[in-house]
Amino acid sequence: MPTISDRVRELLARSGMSQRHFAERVGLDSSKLSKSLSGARRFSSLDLARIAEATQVTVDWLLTGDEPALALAARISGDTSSAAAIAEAKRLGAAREDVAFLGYRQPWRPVRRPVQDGLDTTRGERLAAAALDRVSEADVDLGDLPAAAEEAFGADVAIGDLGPRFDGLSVATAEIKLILVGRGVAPWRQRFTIAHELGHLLARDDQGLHLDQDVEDRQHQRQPTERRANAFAAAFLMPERQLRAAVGSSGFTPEAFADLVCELRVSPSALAFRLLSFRLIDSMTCDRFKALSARQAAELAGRLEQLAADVAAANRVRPPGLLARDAYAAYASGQATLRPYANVINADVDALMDALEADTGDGPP
Amino acid sequence: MSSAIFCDTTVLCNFAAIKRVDLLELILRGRGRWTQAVAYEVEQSRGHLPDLARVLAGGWLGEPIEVAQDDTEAWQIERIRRSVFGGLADQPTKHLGEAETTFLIKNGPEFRSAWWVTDDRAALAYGRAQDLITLETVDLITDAVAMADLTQESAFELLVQMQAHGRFVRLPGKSADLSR
Repeated sequence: MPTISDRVRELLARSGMSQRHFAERVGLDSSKLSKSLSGARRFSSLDLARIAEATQVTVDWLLTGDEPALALAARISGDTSSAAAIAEAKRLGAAREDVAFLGYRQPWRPVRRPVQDGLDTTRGERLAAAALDRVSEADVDLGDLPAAAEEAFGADVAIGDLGPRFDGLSVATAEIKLILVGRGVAPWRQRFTIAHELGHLLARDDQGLHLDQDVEDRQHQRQPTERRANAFAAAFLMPERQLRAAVGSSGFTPEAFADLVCELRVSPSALAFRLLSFRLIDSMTCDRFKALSARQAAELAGRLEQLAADVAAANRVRPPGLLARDAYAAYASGQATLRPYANVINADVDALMDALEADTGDGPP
Repeated sequence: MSSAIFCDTTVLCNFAAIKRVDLLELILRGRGRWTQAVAYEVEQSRGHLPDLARVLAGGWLGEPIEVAQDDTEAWQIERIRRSVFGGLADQPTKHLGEAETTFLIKNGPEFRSAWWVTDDRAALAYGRAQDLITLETVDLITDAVAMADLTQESAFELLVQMQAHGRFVRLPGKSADLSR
């Protein structure tokens, strides 16, 4: 079984340097390095940190030879256009693993996977039905989808700056279940991406990192897991039963359609196509409805304020709520400093301490 | 009387900033100790605080202590560095001094009654929550007044000077507060 010395020797070989030059580069005394490599001396925690820093590996890898699943997946993906998204996923994933070490494990609650036969789309719809049952049991409102996914399933859901034209990703490891979506001004697209990533997590599609740079990309959509995640998202956000109840038997006016668009917080075109797929509207009506813009639908439904609020929320960075809660709990219980919590919410730790320790007396805020 | 006093790098820098490392040596009275990572942090800070060379050369903090006795302890220290102090995996030396020191005080029987001195507010709050004897530079200065190494006025002036050098030390309202 390879030892720490074996792994340091591997780094030495990879560097192409002489042992003396390698020792200089990592800042160790040459004779100490030599003794440690021969097993006559242990590497100290500082030695390990300096070797890790100089060679861009982690201390964990030096100690165990195991690379965190997320780091490995990120390295393998090698996709530079996803770099910002992957870096953010690694940051939040590491924070989740770190807080788990203190006993705050992610409260992930998957649903029972339905029978795994039939078309990909059918499997996605069955999974959505199970997920909607959970939403109903947990009595959560899907209006705030990130909060609902956290409360009903225990996933961490974050909204961040993921670089231009990057929809989202999901991370699934033993300790991490993370949905990360890009900040943007189209809340319906962001909601669809969150639901799509939730579909991947609940279907246990990938271990590690799953990138969905563009959920509407046609080539990407051809993959069976993507078809299933899309079917899940459509059925989860636009449940058939709710659509049938809304349409009823007395026809479906543009105002009622617009109201349903706002109620479900989906795009007019997505809802029009879904209604058509159930033959609840005909193709001419579908064409007419899908030509509506989000603003027109909101205006028609008298819900422009809701649209404005949704657009603002979609454009805001959102740290993962459960992770922030757990990191704060670790601080409040005295098990950690305030820094991990400050890292999760991207705040300056001293400013945060000032705010938390501020006098809450009668003075002005 | 404490058996050992572990000063965080922030504290050593405070005294180096006002060129009074000699005073810190006097206050510690041979009780000062440090870990390897703290000694490394001091070495790294020497560029902008040249007086730290006197800490490194003086020998009055003893030989830097190699904390981890085996790979399991090294693993635990890395977990503490990240989970407790918010260090990142790709910055492995950051907060290592704090992780090593708190691990040593909590796990080394000979250091159970040791003091930990830090002016990092987040670390200070953690140390106190963990029931470690956790002090600040102002406490060392107050001790110096009690031991008649400094007058209240000169002690207060030193803290003012530290702040003037951009150091984050807590300053009492008036010099008279620097008494026990």
